[in-house]
Amino acid sequence: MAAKGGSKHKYTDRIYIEAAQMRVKNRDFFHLKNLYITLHEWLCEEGWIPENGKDINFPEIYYLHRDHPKTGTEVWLFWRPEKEINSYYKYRLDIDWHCILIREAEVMHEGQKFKTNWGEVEIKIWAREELDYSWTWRNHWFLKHIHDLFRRRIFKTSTEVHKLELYREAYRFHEAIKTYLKLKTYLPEPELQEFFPQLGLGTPK
Amino acid sequence: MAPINDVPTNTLIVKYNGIFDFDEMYHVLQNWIKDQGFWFEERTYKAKVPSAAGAEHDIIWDGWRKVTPYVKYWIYVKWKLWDLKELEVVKDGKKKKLYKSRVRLVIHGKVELDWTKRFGGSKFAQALAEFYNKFIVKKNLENVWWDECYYRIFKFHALAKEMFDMQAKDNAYYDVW
Repeated sequence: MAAKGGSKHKYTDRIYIEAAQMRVKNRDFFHLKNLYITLHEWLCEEGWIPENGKDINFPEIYYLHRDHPKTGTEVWLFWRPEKEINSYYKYRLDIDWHCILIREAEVMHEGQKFKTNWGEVEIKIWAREELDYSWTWRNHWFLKHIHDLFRRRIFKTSTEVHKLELYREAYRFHEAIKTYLKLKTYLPEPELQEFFPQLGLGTPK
Repeated sequence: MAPINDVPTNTLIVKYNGIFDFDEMYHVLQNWIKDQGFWFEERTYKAKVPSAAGAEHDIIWDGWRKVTPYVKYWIYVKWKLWDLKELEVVKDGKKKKLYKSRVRLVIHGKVELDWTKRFGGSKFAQALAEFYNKFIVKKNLENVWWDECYYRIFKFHALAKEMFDMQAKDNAYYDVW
């Protein structure tokens, strides 16, 4: 039910199933800008960004940057990429970043100095599978009466298959974050394949 | 009064201070959860380096498994590592990366009843659910479902002790469930 004034939560009236929910928090040396680029490129390569990943279409709906002389930089970022599977299913990833105490630092890596950052980054991810996202069934004069039956019984198997697929994609994204931050990973195939250097430390000369 | 839908198991804790193979242990334990047919989720991974003493890691895992259309098993694992440091040791002539840390693993689970919400939300349906859980399926719950959930979690606990190479690593209930 919409609140007075017309505003409502974006998931009100939507039919969705939560496939995965996770968060990664790290307080150490890491390159923030390179982490941003790495995850941005990952989403583009995996087809989450429409129109060939042009920046204008990148779904960064909120960016807050706050500088404080004593406590460093604070950054809030909300990403909302979506992937349409077919006319009935859509995958949604809600990615929230919160970075605090960010300051510039220099580290020695294999005999070379690299400029990097020190601070804390927390990335929360919710993966949701939305059903009938275009309201084709719910707005049709006949289909709306049989939509519940089809959703609960006939489409159940394909819903479960898509949920598993979204779960796998979300955990691959999670793996990409942990690989970059040099945290423990467990998937059999590593993400990023060392293309983006861990912690943003470039290849030494 | 709402029927009891979640029946928790006992909490098992493993505490260890010493050298161990964190990489292998991490893979083996999460593979065990998946091989047992649980849907595995790593809810949280927190890491920080508060001092030169070492890193601190917090990991939360949970997993669930549909047993019947009425019963689901859950397993929850919480890792807490303090003063985590990397070490290189020579074992059998080969260099191996190990870790020295203080570790606490907290493992518990639960049996979730009526996860498909068959009994609905009305007061009458809730009363029926309570009657069903307390009288009709009580024996199954105590002797089969809770028992199986707990002993499977106990096997996970025994596997963790085996990975730490503890003296009490043997599992007296290895053949139960």
